[in-house]
Amino acid sequence: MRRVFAVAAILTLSGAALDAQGVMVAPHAVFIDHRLRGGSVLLYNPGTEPVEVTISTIFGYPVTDSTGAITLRTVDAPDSTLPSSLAWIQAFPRRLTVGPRERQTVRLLGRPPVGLADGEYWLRMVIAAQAGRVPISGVADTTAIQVGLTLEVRTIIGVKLSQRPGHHGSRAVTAACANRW
Amino acid sequence: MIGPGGALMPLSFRAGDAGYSQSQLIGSQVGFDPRQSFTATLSNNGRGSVFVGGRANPATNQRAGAYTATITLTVTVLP
Repeated sequence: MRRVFAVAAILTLSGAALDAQGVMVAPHAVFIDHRLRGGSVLLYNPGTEPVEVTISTIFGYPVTDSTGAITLRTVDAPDSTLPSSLAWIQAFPRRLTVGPRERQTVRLLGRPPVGLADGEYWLRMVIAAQAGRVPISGVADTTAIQVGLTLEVRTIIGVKLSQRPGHHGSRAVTAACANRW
Repeated sequence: MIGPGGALMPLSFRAGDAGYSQSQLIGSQVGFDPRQSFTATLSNNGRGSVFVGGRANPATNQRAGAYTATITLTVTVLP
């Protein structure tokens, strides 16, 4: 016996309130200047229920497989050959609750190490929102078994920091991820 | 899916069980396999909808009750 169900989720990088969606994230990419060493991301909950959000950071770059599909290749512990800022850019708060129709700001602070070579360094910020219960349709008989699904929406945006040109000399990066932030 | 007393019920997905609609209309979606990544372009207003179908497969002696699971939708924004 099989029960067929269907759910719908809304991708919202901007827009109005709808069911089963996460939080709006703006901007879609953060560029940090070496002089300011900081940035911010705005989260907006367009829904009517509070949304729990967890912030984390990863390093990764898009790759294409033999079929042309794009995936994000993540590196847990990027070494010095990769243009990673994972070790020295922090986002805070790491956990927050965004109330209905409310906005919250996540701040980014970069602490580049002394002597960091000129160039561009990046990471990706993961905004994981518990988007609530998903409306399910198509289940005809629920007398004995009921099914319920919750939705988690993870939005991943890029954060790039440009180190001051001509300050500490240039650096070489692994060709596989050069300019693929 | 996890149910009463830790009872499990499998979910399954097939190619074409998901769809993406730039206009957010279910009738205009482009099908894709929810088990694999899918690349799409958002409309100018930055909105889009993902529709997901699937199958819950209860056994003939499946324990009665409410079963729950979490679907994770990962959206990676590429410049």
